[in-house]
Amino acid sequence: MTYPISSDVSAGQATAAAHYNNLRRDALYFGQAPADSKSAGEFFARYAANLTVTYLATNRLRLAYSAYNPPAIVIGGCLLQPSASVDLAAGCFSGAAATYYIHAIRAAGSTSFTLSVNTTPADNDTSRPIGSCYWDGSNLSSIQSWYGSSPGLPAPGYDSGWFACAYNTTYTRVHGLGAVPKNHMLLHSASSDGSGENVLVLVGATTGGGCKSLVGFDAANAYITTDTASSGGCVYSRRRESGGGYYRLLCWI
Amino acid sequence: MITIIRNPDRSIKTYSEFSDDPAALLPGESLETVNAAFSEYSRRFTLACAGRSGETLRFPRASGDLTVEVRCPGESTAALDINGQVETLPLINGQAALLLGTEVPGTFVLKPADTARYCPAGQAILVIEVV
Repeated sequence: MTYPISSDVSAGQATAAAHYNNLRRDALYFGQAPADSKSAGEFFARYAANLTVTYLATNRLRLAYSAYNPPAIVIGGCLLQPSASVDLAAGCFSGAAATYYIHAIRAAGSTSFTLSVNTTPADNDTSRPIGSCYWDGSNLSSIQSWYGSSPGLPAPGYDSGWFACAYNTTYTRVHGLGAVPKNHMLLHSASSDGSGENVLVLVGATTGGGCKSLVGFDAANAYITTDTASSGGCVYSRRRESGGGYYRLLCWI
Repeated sequence: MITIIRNPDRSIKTYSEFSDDPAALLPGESLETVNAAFSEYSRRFTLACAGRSGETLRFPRASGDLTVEVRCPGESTAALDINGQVETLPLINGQAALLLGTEVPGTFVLKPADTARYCPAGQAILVIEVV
């Protein structure tokens, strides 16, 4: 692969068609044949990076600016990069519970963008969805950044905190995420402050032998029914067995 | 500030570090707010053996008597449910020791007898298996 394929033109040298065409291929196709490469504009049309949206009191959203990882997005072919944090205006959420989509909005004459929210994720030449959040009618939760810069697992959309558990009991936790979580983790601790080993709960022990999983979800709640054995109804693991202790449920959507 | 959930019979089902939502209640259950820290509330009644609690303990048969440490700060007695039998223990400085024999294989399930006052979950329930 040769790149670039264009070359300098000396003063007085006539500019040949090949000069122009090589320069154009460098600019549009990184020096490759159009049959082998998408144009830069097409390739970057859906580019978006470092767009981490966080909660801003009260019931607002902020796209935080970082000079080291500056937010960037292409909307309608325009390369946009704000030079400071971008905040959603107050009062954008109202009415019944719903999932809202967070949009970056381009305006003519600006190389930055603003934020808006909408209950539809559809995009166009001036608007692109960059995340979502859940409005429960009073509060925001489950803010998701589709093009965030945070490495690793994002913060959970729901954290129950520790609560006391016992065997053969059903616990309902209101996660309020507006959808069945895509992932979850149920932890067990033998102490109320969660110190020491947290054991991942996958099953509980059943009286008379065997084991069963314990957790179910709908769009509003998590349901944990501990199993019947007093010795291992809450957690049945090679790491720990218990019919008591404490649970903590984490959910991601 | 924590919340507790009571069963329809008024026994305490659970208590939570974060406030529970009324939507978490099953039919007949009720929600109460308690002005206490979660760790403080969890220490109102605890059971331990060999320094361990909140998990099932196993000991071999004929391994000598086991000492269960009962802690109920600020109280002079503690009523304990041991496999369905209630035993009231005198407390000194809110503590007592209960001896369990290991001659016969079986399971001891210990928890507070007054479940309207103390939650039979968390570190207030202790299961010991003699195998």
